[in-house]
Amino acid sequence: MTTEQQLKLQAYLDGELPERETRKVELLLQDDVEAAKLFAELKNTRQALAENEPQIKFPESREFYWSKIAQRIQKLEPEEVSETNFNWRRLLWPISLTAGAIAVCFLAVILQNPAANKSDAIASISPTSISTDVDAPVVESAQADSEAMTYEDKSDGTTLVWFSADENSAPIKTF
Amino acid sequence: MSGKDFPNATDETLVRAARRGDMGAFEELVARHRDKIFARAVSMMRNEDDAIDLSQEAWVKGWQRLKQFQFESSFATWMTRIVINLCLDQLRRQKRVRVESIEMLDEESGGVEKQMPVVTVNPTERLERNELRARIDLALAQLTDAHRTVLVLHEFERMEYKEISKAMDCSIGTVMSRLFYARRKMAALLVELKKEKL
Repeated sequence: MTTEQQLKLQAYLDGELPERETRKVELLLQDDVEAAKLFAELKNTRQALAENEPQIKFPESREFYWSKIAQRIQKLEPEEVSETNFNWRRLLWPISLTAGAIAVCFLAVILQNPAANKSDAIASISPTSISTDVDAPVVESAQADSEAMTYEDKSDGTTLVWFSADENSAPIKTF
Repeated sequence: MSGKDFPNATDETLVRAARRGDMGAFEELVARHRDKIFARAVSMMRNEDDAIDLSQEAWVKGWQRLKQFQFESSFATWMTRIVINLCLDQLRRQKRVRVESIEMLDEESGGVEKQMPVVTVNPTERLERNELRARIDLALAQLTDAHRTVLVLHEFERMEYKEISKAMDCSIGTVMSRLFYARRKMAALLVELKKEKL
């Protein structure tokens, strides 16, 4: 018997053989003893398995097993949880992003405009310029009693303020 | 629907409640079908820890995809397909379902099974059901992952050749060849186990 015939025999057993081939296999089963024996073996094995799937005992308690699934579900991102639930956070996300961007721009404008900074600690400093070049970084000394110093670099928009209450003090504010 | 109604509710009712975000309804579905889902994972992975992990992952995926369940099959069947796919992915990652050796290539092309003598007696005759199940389990453990997977999908899940070839990403010819070898090997193993017992 060829491999092809063996596989056709099996396909016949499984009901997967095209109808035009069925008659040929039936004739083979009638005429060939080995084919009939092989068919019987395949059939017995198939039947034994189909009716006797091994029973596997579940090793964990219902509560423990579920608690782990529930934890994993709760850890999912909201949009992953269920597409059927309306998600307000999804709607709010672009709004918060826009509001954040506007706030950053507003702060940048305020910081670039000294007149608007009068209430800030930086504005209360009476500057003594070291450099007069508009684009060059400027270091300003503070009034004697406030013991503060400012470093401002307009080219990259950086302003640092030192308060010298402690001789080891680090810059406390960066814009 | 309140929690006390869950045990009497149909799967369909529970699925609809779970889709609305009712975790209690989903917990009831897990309780009803966890044994089957876990058993399928064990039969494919042959490892309890992997089976627990993959079955839990299947439930999480089930929760995420509830909207896709169209009630065309039973909920249990749908969940079983999810766990089977996860197991197959895991087996592929572990390279356990690829052709790995000359011996296996020979098996798949129909070389080895030709040499196996036909089992003329039925090795499962006159056996207690529990005894038979235990022997089948032992025999399944001795098959390669590729052969056992085809057998499990065909005999236990009643999947057709075409469905198996799609799930396992191989040709129908390979499925037929693997199934043929797996059955013949099972028959031989069951005879051996019967002799050992005597």
